[in-house]
Amino acid sequence: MVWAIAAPFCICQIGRVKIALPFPLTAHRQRPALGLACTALFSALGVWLAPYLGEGYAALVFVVGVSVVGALCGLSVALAMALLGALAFDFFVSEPVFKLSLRRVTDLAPLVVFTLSALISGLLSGRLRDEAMRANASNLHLQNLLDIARRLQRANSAEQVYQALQEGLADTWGEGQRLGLFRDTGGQLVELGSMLDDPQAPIMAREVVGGPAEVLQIGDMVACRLASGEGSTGALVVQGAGLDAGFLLAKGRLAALALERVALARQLAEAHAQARAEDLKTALLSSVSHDLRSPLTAISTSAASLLEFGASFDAETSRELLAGIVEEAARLNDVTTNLLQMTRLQDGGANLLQTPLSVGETLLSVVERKRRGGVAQRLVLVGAEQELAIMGDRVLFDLALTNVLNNATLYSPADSTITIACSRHAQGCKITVTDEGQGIPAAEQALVFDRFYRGTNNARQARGSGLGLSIARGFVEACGGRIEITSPVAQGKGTSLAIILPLMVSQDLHEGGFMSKEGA
Amino acid sequence: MMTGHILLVDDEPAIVKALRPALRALGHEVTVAKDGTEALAAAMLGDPDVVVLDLGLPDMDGKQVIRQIRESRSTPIIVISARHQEQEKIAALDEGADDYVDKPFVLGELLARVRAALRRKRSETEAPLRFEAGGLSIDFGTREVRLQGEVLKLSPKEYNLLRMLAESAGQVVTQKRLLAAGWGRSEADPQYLRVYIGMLRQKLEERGGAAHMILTEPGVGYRLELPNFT
Repeated sequence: MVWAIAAPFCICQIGRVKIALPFPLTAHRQRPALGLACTALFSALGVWLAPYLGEGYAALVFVVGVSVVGALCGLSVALAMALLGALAFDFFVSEPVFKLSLRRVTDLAPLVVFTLSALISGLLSGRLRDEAMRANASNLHLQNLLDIARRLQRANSAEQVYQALQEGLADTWGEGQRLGLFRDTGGQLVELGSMLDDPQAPIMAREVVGGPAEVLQIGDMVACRLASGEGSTGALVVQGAGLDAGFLLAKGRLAALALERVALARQLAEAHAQARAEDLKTALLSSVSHDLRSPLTAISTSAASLLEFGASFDAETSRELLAGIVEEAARLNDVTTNLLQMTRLQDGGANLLQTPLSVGETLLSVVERKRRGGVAQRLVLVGAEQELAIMGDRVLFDLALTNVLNNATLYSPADSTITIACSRHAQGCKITVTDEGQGIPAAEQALVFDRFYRGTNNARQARGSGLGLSIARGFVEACGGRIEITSPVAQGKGTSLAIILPLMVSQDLHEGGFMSKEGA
Repeated sequence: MMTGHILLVDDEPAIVKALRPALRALGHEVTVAKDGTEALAAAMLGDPDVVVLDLGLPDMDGKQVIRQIRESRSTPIIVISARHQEQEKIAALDEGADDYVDKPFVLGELLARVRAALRRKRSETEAPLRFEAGGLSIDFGTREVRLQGEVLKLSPKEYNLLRMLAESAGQVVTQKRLLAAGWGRSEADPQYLRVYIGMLRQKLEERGGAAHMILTEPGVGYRLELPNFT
């Protein structure tokens, strides 16, 4: 009976922070038994000592007992034990012994004293225990906030912020909580992530973002504003039992900071990307102005010469001017093709169409085209008959190989040999283009793949745009391969460029075959 | 038809190949240099009448070539520049180049510049006492200026500017050189120049001169264009 009264009293004292209890709740139920044992022990002691100490001193033993119970078991148990102790005192110690007698006023004195001491010790110990619990709870909150702060620090996107909050809340209140995170983008609330299906949640979120209250609690839902240096940035809404609004607000501040940091990081990345794009544009413009103007000037001048003085030119001169026009037009075409393909590779080649390509066939076509166009060196092709296939963009693969070959012809003397070879390699297939030129100085080797870089060591005119090898590398990297340079090759001369590409695997065949059929 | 010995300096074989036949067809003698070293040697030994110089040379700065030629020769120099070399071009003109064409140029434009340069070269060797072309006549001794036979009253500054432009008629004259001629200081404010050129234009037009005798080359300088001059 006492118990039934005592139990709700205990829980009431703990209030909302029951989850923060350092010990299991069941421990309290055993306390009345402890109180009873304690009371029995001290009562027995008092009864045993009564003949030696007299009635008055024996009562003190009973008081000590009640106080001990109050300290150990709290107010309610102590009060119950005070009543029990008073009855025991009356029955066993006070005259007449073995009889309950409440005839005199003094017979009530032990009951009053016992109750008072139970009250004092019980209240004091209860308060102490509450304090301890509160300290413990706020300790846990702090620990939890720290955990969340740590998690949020690692978050690199709004989704990760949501994830971190979710995990943090689950740690605090268990798995039963549902969380919604909203961002305020110019008066419009955007859901960054939500497991709330209550239609009230967005309404509450809007209320805390726009309204005067920072926190709003309706039923089992709490909404709090995400406030940062720039003012309100959104709202956090949590649904679940036993939520602490103040604690949520603290979490909301952390989340707001994390979201702000994520936004700033994104802005920074965008600014960097823009600066890089600007640099590229400048380089592109100056390259375009040279690479397009020179052939254009040559074409326009040759054509104007023919038009104006054609009649006075001999056949040889006219033919040379016409040949020059054709040659320069081809060069213009090369430059524009490279510029166009460069832009396709801009984003790392993510949007390129991957089709199965035969390495041997492509090499053969590139080398034959080069021979038809006229080349001062001997071109030797080795291993083109092998069945090697890769996945890649057809135009770019052709262009990459053409560029590498052009580079070799541009930087090596007439009548030397350029060897183009392809073979199976541990990581796929290996294509090498080896020339007998003067080689590339070690310091320049890392630069040759940079956009708009032109070699300094060529005896003849460098007519490249500085885009060729950059495109070759862009293509190779988009295919998951790599490109390497070896120079000198032998006797301090020659350069060998190796392209290593992963071979097509059979499942690509399906996909790729289908795609190429569609493309055809 | 005026002909002469032209030194063509360009590292682009395609442009040399395209230009040479036209220059030869006009009766010019053409020497080709593909870098600065060859250009300097040809300029000193060959003594050309006009140098056509591409600013983008593989072995040395075009300005350096101009400076070294100017140390011993007053040979007219026409600079070929790409549009992004605007500052380079002005620096080259200040260094002593006489004119420029922007790449891509039209053949007729370059040939006109060559003609103007040859005329200057010849007029220099004759050390003229007067200038006469396109209805404009200037007596360098009496400082009398006539347009279509009528005397034109000019302030000393206006006269100096006009004489400077006339001496290089058909060619660009940089702001620096005009400022030096009018104010004695090449670093004077180009704003003065704009004002005086404006007044000069007005006087010329009032006396029946062509509307655009003095052409503005933005950022570079001015050019006197006379009808039937070249």
